Formats: sequence, C-alpha cells, structure tokens
Amino acid sequence: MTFHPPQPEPSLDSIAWWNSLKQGIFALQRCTRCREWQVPNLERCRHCGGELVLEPVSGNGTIYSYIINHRPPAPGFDDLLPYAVAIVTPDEAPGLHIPGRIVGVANEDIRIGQAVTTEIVDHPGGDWKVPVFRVTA
Amino acid sequence: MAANDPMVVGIGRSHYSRNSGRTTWGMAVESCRLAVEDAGMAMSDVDGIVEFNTADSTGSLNVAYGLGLPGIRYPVDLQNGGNIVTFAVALAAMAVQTGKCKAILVYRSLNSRSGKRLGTFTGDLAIGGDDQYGAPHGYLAPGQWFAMYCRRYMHEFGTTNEDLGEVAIVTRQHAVKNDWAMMRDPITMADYMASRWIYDPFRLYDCALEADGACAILITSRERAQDLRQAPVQVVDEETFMGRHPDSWSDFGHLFSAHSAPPLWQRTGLTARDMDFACIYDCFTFTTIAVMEDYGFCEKGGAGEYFRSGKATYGGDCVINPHGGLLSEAYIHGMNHHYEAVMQLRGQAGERQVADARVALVTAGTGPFGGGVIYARA
Repeated sequence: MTFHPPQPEPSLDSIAWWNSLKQGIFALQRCTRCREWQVPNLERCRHCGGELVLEPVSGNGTIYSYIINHRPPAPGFDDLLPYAVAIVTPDEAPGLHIPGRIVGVANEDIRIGQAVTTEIVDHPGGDWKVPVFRVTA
Repeated sequence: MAANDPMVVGIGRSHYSRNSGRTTWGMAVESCRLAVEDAGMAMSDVDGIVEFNTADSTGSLNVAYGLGLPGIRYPVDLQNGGNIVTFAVALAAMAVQTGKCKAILVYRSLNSRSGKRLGTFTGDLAIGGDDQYGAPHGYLAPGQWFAMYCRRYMHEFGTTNEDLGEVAIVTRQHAVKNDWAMMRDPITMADYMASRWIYDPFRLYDCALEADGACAILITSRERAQDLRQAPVQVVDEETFMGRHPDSWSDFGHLFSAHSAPPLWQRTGLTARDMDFACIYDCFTFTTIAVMEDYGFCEKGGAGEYFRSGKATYGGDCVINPHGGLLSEAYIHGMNHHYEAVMQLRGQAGERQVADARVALVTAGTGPFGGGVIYARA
C-alpha cells in the first residue's frame, strides 16, 4: 500500500502562512512594533508581544546545515531516496531556521554556506504548497 | 552535610529487549518494586513518583496502584523524553530535601522497539504543531534534527565521521563486559564505516539502540538512608537548560550543555577533571561529543581524539559510559545511565567497575534541551 507524504495540519496561528503559500507567496511573520521577524508562526511577537503581519520575503537565504536521508521517517518519500533536507537562514532574518528540501543539485554537491532561492511547489496528496530551496551558487 | 540530603538508596530494572511482550505498566511496576526491595525499604514509605513519558509509558498513578499503594502525595508526570531525566531526579531530590516526601521513585518504562518507535511514522498523516513545517519535507524524526546539528558542528569544529566512529567503538567495547547490554560484539572502524547510512552524517552505529524495558531509582533522605540495605549515593546537584523545538535553537555549535554546565560546576566547585566516570546521554554518538566538550572534558572539537587516544576508557582520563550507554546497552531513555552510576558508585559494577569511583556526572538530552546531575558516594 502506498501513502502520501504527511500533510500539514495548520493551527490558528499558522493557517495564514499556509494560505499565503497557496497564493504563491513566501512570507514570514514580522512584528509591526519592534520589526523583528519570527519562525514558527505565533499569535504575537515573542520579543515584545506586538502584533504580527505576514510580510513577503525574497526567498534568498543560506544553507546553515543539511542532511541526506537514506531512510524515510514517514511514508511518501521512497521515490526521493536519498533526499536532502536543509535548514536555511533567510537573508532578511539570518538568525531564523527554516527546514525544507534541497532541489536542483546532486546531494554530494551540497555545502554549508551555499546560497539558495525559494520555490513554491505543489505538495502531493492534497492541495497544499510547500517551499523548497534551490542552490544558486 | 545535612540530614535531609537526597540519596539514591535503591535501583531496579526490567530485562532489556527488542520485544518485551509486556506492558509498560507491568515493566514499570517491576522495576520500581525491585528498587524498593534493593533499598530494603517498606513500600508504604514511598509517597512520591516522578516519571517522564514521551511516546510510550505508564503514568505515576497507575504505577503507585500497581505497587499496592493507596495513593501518593507527589505525582509527577513529565511530558518530555530523555532530555528531562536529570530534572526528574532533581524534582525527586528537592521533594526529599524540603521534607515534602519521605521516599520517591523515578522511573522510565517504554516499548520503544516493539511498540511506539520514536521518529517512525506510518499511514496517511496530517501533522500539526511544531512538525507541520518539517514533516511535509520528510523531516520530523529526532535522528534527523540532531544529524542536522551534527553536520553544522562538524563544519564549525572539525569533528569528523571517524570521530563519531570512535565513540561508537569505545562505547561498544564497554558493553562487552555488561551482561545486561543488548549489543556486546566488538566493532571496528571498518565495521562502523560499513554500517548503513540512516540520516547522513549519521550511520546505523551512530544511533541509540531502540529497546523495550524499564528502569527505576529510589531517593530518600540521608537520615532515612542510614537504616537501609545499600550504601547511599548522594544527589549532589543538578542543572537543566531547556530550549524548545530543535529548529528554534539558533546555535547548533553549542547545545543545552553550554548553558547547563557552567552553573553546575560553579555551584559544586567541581570540574570535569574531578569526575571518576561519566554517563553521557548518547542518543547519538554526536551527542556524546558535543556534550562532553561543553562540560569541559576536552576542548571543542577534541572529543574524537579523547576517545581515539584512550582517555574515555579504563586507564585513561574518565571512563565514558562504562555500561555501553544508549548506543550499546539499551535506549531506556537515559534512565539506565542513572542505574549504572549508582552501581559504579556503590562498587557493584563487577568486571566493569571503575576503580575507586567516588563522583560522577550523568547527563540527559541533546540539542536545545537537557541537563546534568552529579552523584557522589556518600
């Protein structure tokens, strides 16, 4: 029996972020008061308690770390093995960590510090879209 | 020295296996009953229980009932995993110190191989909470999070795959002399390098040995310990530092231990050099390396050489995980480290006894969350 990869189950704090991806927009929460960015999505700013808005970002970032998965922890990834997942720090907020698959490069050519750009792709098994990272340099 | 100093006076454990064929309730009660019998204490003196229960366990009230107690006055069920073990011990120790409790059990019981396997998911899933962001990418298992930390750590401090291998090899060597250990065949660097990738940079031998089993310790006051059967082992001090989800931690080069180690050494006036042995929470080989370095057993990036040169074993500087750790004894979520520490400090570890063991560090956790406790022969 084959299964789809896990679908996201958004919360009241994250649903707007998932919906913006559906519109093809990669955005991050930003505080209207102290201007800090944050990940993951919360109700209020963790730094000052201020109000948050989803602000579109460039999608440009840097690989902070990465792994090559030879064993899928969940169903739906067998065809991708071995697949790379990275933690990327966005250029606008270099202290934040965003996980996502790396595409368009051989696993053995991935390096910490490489520049990436973000693409929004359909997620199999439902109508969600997810951000993936393409190595640009 | 005070009459209310917290002392470990009893230890108990079930058989460790890949398929217990038992309930976590049954194993928890067995290990707790053995700990009380080991101490020679009356069961009716037990008035508190602390347990932790990520994924699979049985609650403190069930275990109290299974031990024949009408109830307890200090029921603590911690919604965490191996990161909280030393804090669980500290909670028990504080309840004894304040006089709130006479005697407290701390246990972990799990069927983490035959039952709920941490980090293994099946079926069509919708995943919320912290993992809604990683799960759609096939990124949601602890082994993946900490492989991610490991890769970054290697980049910053020059730790190599061979360094990870040294930890696996020496830890296995220790398990050879432990008849409770599930994996007792020695391994070589060639074996390590040939073991299959799980989440590169982690190979199979970098990962803890998923197991079924239970383990318990019993804590009471110095005063009460005087009348009991075993030489007491003092809970000297404990320090925990807990961040949240691994992806939310900003510096993969410095784990919880960079925060929990300094206060512990400062308050006790001890250092890594004073430890006769250490049980370092080794959910992954990488954890042993990063945590040892943060606690100052060696400089950052130096743990591989510490193991390679024999400092981590008998005749070296400090025996690390004399029982074979979570890598080779069993993954009882770190509770078995405390069992081993007490055996060693009592001088009951037989063939693998560390000579004149008087004081030891036991750690819990990895990544953003964990702690350390110091035990000493009383």
